[in-house]
Amino acid sequence: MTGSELKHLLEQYLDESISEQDFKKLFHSLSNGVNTSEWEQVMDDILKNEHFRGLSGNKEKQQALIHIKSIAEQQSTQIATPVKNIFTRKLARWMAAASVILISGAAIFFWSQSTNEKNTARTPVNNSSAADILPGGQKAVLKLADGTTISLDDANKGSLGKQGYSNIEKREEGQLVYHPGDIIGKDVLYNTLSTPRGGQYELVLPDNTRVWLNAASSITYPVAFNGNNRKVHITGEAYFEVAPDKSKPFIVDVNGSVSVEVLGTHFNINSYADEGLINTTLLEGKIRLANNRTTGEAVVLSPRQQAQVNKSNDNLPIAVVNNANVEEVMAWKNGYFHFTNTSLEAMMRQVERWYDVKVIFENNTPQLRFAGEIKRDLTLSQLLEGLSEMGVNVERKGRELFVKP
Amino acid sequence: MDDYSPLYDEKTLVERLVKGDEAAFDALFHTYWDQVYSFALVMTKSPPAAQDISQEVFVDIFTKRNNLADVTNFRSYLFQMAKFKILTRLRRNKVETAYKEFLIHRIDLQQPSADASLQEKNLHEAVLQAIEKLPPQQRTAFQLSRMQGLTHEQISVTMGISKKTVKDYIVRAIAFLRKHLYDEGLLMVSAGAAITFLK
Repeated sequence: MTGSELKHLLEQYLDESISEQDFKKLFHSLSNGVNTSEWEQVMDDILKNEHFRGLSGNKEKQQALIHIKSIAEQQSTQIATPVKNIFTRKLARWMAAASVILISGAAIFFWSQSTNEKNTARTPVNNSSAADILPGGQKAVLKLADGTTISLDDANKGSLGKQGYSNIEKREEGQLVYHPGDIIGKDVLYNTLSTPRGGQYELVLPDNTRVWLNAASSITYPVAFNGNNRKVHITGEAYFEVAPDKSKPFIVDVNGSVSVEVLGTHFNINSYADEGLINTTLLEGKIRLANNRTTGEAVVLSPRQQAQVNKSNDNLPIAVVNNANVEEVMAWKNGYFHFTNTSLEAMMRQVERWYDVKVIFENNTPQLRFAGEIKRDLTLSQLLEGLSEMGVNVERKGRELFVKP
Repeated sequence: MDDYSPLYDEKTLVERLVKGDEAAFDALFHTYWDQVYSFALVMTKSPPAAQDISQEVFVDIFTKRNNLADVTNFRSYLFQMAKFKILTRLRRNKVETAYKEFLIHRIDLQQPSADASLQEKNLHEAVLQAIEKLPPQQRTAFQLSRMQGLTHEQISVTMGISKKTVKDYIVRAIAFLRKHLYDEGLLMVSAGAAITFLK
């Protein structure tokens, strides 16, 4: 293809009058890396041309600024404590302590300006006393259509009964499965599965969609998807692996605030009442998320993007974070707490939900940030032991934790 | 758009940015964001891709600001980065996939057939409404081209403007419409109806 031919095709691409054959020709030549100078010339012309400006709205600009600032902030935190060095040194110490850590199950390392040097890794003592508080486990309550409730941790494995034409089975500890019946009923019956603080559960819906509920969360769903969509309601935090079905979009309504529409895909929604943001993170596929708190502003997410809806200020647009920290988002499902530059306050909110305790901050508690992972099967005293190693002093009275200065 | 430029020349701003001055970064961001975004949108024809690319450009400007110390022309450095990222993005997909995406998002004005679903008709209506939002000259050029089927030559004569301007108007109109429909949630890959209508 000659240079002028290529230029001609490029112009047809731009005004969308290009044929399929020519489009493929043009893009083949681009991916083969030939004649990019023609592309450059056309792009230079566009850049000089005043007509091609003013296409960004304020929303795009704000969204970009939020994104850039969050990255800049992460970077400056690191710069303030000559990152790389301390970070790797700490990591080395943390690795050196790994055998200890494996025994106790704790893996945490600390990252802040004030305490880093005096912070040697010692053995968190493993002393699960009788009065200790155990971590959360596979606990949930199922509420049937008629209002009856079943405590699933007490129920035996096997069939739990029928709702409409669907069979409900407790297949494993921590897993509830709906088997659709052969008959499609007309009535729509709703069940609700809810986890207490310190509980977690997996649900398999009649369409084979899998849902993992984190602690203090709930999901309400029809026992059979008879309509032209699959709509469920959640509170708290849940991870979805939606079974593909092009004819029936899957819709998640989050506290009436946000709705997420999908066809078949993996994503996590965190909407706890005590967190300031409703964060929806996409792992696979594509979803459309609408903010129903405002005029229904909507964004479409691609994998590794996270949409943040601010609950305290309805004037803010939905922020979309690219390259979201998926490991952090998914840690709960994989049995970890995961922290990346996480504040003590945010960390303790997770502790509250998993150990079913209340955390009270006394005045002048240190401004600390954490990075690392902690297994979720530690007992509370093991966790507090580890925290005290990091310079966080916590006193426990019953189910209340007091964070001391 | 150039709110900040009278106060500081660009060279000073870039020097301040190298030292980590956030206000200098903001000034450069506000000066150039729209140009980078618009450029990326015209080239990729995809609003989310344009957002990604432009964000990445400015993230790189900030995080790799040390590199700017040797840069004599900030503007051309910035756009060079944008060009590179756009080409990388356009190359990323297989040609087949790229063409499918191009089709999905193509603005088509075919009148829906009489037995088309209500949803298809509504979408057609939305496209027509979006066209009304175009600046008058661009709207006229776009309508003459896509609804009346006139050639650029004929439009140029009718409107008394150069052929090149006709082409510019149409390309700009397409970018605007794609973005507008995307904002309205109508250009969504997973919305089956939007796909059938727009292709």
